Amino acid sequence: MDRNSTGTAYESRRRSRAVIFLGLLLMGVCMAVITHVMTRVFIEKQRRLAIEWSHKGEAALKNGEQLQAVSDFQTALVYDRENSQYRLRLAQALIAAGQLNEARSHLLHLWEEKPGDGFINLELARLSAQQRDLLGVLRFYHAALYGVWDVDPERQRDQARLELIEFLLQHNENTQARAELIAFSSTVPNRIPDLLQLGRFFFQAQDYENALSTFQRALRIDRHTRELQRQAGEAAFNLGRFGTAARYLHENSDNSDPEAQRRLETIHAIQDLSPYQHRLSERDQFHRVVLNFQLAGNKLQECVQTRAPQTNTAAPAVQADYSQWQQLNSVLDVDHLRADPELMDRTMNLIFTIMTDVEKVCPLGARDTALLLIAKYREQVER
Amino acid sequence: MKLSPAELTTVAPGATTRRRVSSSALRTWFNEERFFLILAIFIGIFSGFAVVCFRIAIEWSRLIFLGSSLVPSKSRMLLAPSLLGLVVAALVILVFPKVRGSGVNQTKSALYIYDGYIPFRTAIGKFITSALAIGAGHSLGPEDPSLQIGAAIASALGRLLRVSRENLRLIAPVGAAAGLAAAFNAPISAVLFVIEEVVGRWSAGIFGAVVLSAVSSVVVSRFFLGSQPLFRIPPVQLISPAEILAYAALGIIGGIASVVFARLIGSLRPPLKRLPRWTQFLQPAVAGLLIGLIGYFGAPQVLGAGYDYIDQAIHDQFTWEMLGLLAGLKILATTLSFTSGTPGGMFAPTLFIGGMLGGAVGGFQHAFFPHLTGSTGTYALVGMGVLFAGFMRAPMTSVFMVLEVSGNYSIVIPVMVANTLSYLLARSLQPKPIFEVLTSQDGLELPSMEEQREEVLLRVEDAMRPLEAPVLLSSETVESALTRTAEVPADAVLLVDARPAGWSAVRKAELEKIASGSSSTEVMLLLNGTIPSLHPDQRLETALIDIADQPVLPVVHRAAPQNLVGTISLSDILDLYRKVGKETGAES
Repeated sequence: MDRNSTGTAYESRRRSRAVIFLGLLLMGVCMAVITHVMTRVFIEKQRRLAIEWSHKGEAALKNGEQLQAVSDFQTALVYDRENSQYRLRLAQALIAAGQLNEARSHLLHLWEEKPGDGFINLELARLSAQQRDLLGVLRFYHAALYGVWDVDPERQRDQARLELIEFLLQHNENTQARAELIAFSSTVPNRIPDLLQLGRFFFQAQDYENALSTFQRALRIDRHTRELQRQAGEAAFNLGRFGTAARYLHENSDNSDPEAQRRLETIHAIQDLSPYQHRLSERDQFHRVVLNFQLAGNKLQECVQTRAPQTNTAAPAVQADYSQWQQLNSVLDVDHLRADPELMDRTMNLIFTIMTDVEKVCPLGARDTALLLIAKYREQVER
Repeated sequence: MKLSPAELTTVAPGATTRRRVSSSALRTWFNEERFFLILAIFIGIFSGFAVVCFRIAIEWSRLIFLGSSLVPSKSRMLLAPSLLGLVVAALVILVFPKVRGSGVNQTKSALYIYDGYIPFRTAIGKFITSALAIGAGHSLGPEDPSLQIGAAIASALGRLLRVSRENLRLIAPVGAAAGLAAAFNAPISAVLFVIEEVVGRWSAGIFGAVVLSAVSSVVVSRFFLGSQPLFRIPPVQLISPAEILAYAALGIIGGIASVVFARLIGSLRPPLKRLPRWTQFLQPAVAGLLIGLIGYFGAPQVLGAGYDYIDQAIHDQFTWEMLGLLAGLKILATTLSFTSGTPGGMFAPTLFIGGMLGGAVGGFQHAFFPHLTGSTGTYALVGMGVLFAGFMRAPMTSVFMVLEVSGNYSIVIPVMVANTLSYLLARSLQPKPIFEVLTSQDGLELPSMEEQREEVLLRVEDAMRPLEAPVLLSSETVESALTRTAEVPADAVLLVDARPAGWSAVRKAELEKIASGSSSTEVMLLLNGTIPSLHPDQRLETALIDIADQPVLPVVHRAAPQNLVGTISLSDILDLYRKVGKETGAES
């Protein structure tokens, strides 16, 4: 075959290929249109099915049929896999059905997509709380607090913080709880119910200082609220501010509140027994020390005779306290107290030790509690 | 200026040259290779359209026959796969006989036996029968049929455009990659699978076309169906380096499961094929009924491809006991569907079985060794790759597939460890991969991709011999040359360093003949051109081509071409081939 005929055949093939390519382009356009139509119809069908099954899921959840709701939302997700709302509802249905691991998996999935979403973080925090995952609780609640909320963000954040505080208090994580409460307190409105709740939280977290100031803040709004007075009195009592405590508890005095009555008795006993009371002469001071010492010894003897033998762990401590008391009792009097400046402190230390050990074994009355508190707070006892 | 008729009929002196130049330019630009690459893009686009429609057809089929609920009603579970099994069987036997099987071996057959020919009717038949079967609940997957549909489209386009014979043979894998990529939404895995399992070798010519077609089809698929991955993967969690041990255990268990699966299919298929022809009309229906019963009695998850349930397994929706049970039941269901002759693929069931098994292993380990293991979802993900490596025997594809569907690289170490163990264990327990088993059962002899991969490559260094005679210089005299080669036999061929021109050779006998006349003649004057040199690492096939009529060739160091490391002759090469042939014959 010569060069010209080869070239002609090539040209012919090239032209026919060009024509066929053009034909393929046209066919491609047609196929694109057909595929587009098919896809649109199909996607629309899937969308409708997803909506239908999600409605069924919502109805099942309302009727308390959690497992059915799970199945319905799973089906909805099959038809609309990108729908985060369905996935969230599925997670909530799973939580309601007690399938926490599965719920967590879906929530983490959502979290991967929107790590800053307040609601998703809140759900994960709640789930972590149910699963007693402290690290998860802290992580996700904090993320919820600083996350993005579409609706009513301030209220949602406060709610999240409250839940976190309740969780921490339930699990005796008082240090963490106190930090959260301090942050929370800046957003609490000046309403008595809110301040009362905040104060109670502070009290539960053993932050009596902040508890007292919160109750006092509330009392400035309405000083006659009995519950506030009582709580303020308790907080002041725990701080050793017995004078303040007495004032609040007196104002709230009500024979139907035995606890408040007990507190007042204790406070009166402190006022009667404390050698650190204001304007006491030195002689009276030392007399009171000796009196407290005798009272402590009497209580100790009573406890040793009635209860100590029955409690193995406390018995040695109480027995040891008693022998120490006997030793000191042989030398303790007003003259020795005057002569030895350190004797008073040693005496009060022993009283504190005695009453602390007795408290573990025997019930303390108002006077015994007063002895303990006097020995504990000493000069810090608010007069 | 208007030309006269005489001028029009006269060819201007430059015209012929211009026409020749433009044809030559077109021919150069639009040569066969480039044309093939452009065609690959069209194949990808058309395959993408076809696979998108195929996936939609499966979903529509499912909605019609099984309903919209994730768990079909009991009556549908029993009736749909069995009744549609009858329909599919009739279509396969009477109308589309070539659509049996998954499609992978059929594509390989096109490549190695039928010069790339796949009837377009096969694409249509595969589309219809697989969509019906999978949609009705048969435990099969859409990927293998998509692979075959793509290959058939490619074959049709190649014939239409009168592609060269050589390229027509290669066109089926190009379409196969396109079909698989669109079905999986994973172009890298598709390319690797086709190269690893269908073509069996890497070459620049096929690789470029395969990549272009896969990419084109994925672009089309994502345009219509979105780019979301096949599975929603939760955060991947690796607790500690010691967790690798847990994944190693998964690899071992997965290897055993792969062998069980392969042996079940391999042992059940021949007796079913030997049954009378009329039973083949009923086999898919019976298989469908049995699968329906499995679903009816508590495991509807085994119906269909099962991707939605893989998604649930990844999200800790099932207990580990349930996952283990599902893995076992899916092996059974897929065996029934596939061996009954129902058209459909094994990719999706393999992923399902692996995902369930991985989840079961992960759940078990999490229950008993919680400090050692992370989420079971991660194990389900790795498990998919494990089964793929052990059952499909495509280790590279299995690793990339897991990475591609998860989009998470942190999982790569556990995947590699688990997949490798599964692959090696499966190989040792079942030397013949499933595709080869099926090929043998069909009476075909296709090349084994695994054997090809592990073929020992013979190199020049295996056949060459050390330097036995001194190397002559082209500038030295014949007398000097003869003096230096006094010990060398008279019939020897001596190498001559003829730099800068290269290397050459001269027979000693010729030197002696010249010496008798003029011993001061330079060796250079006796040379008859240069000879090619080889390197020790070059393949022996290259040496066989280069040696042509040369008695010997020099073997030189790559870093120092003047450094001669040995010589090689034709007899050296043939001796080595004989030796290897004897050893291979002895082994088999």
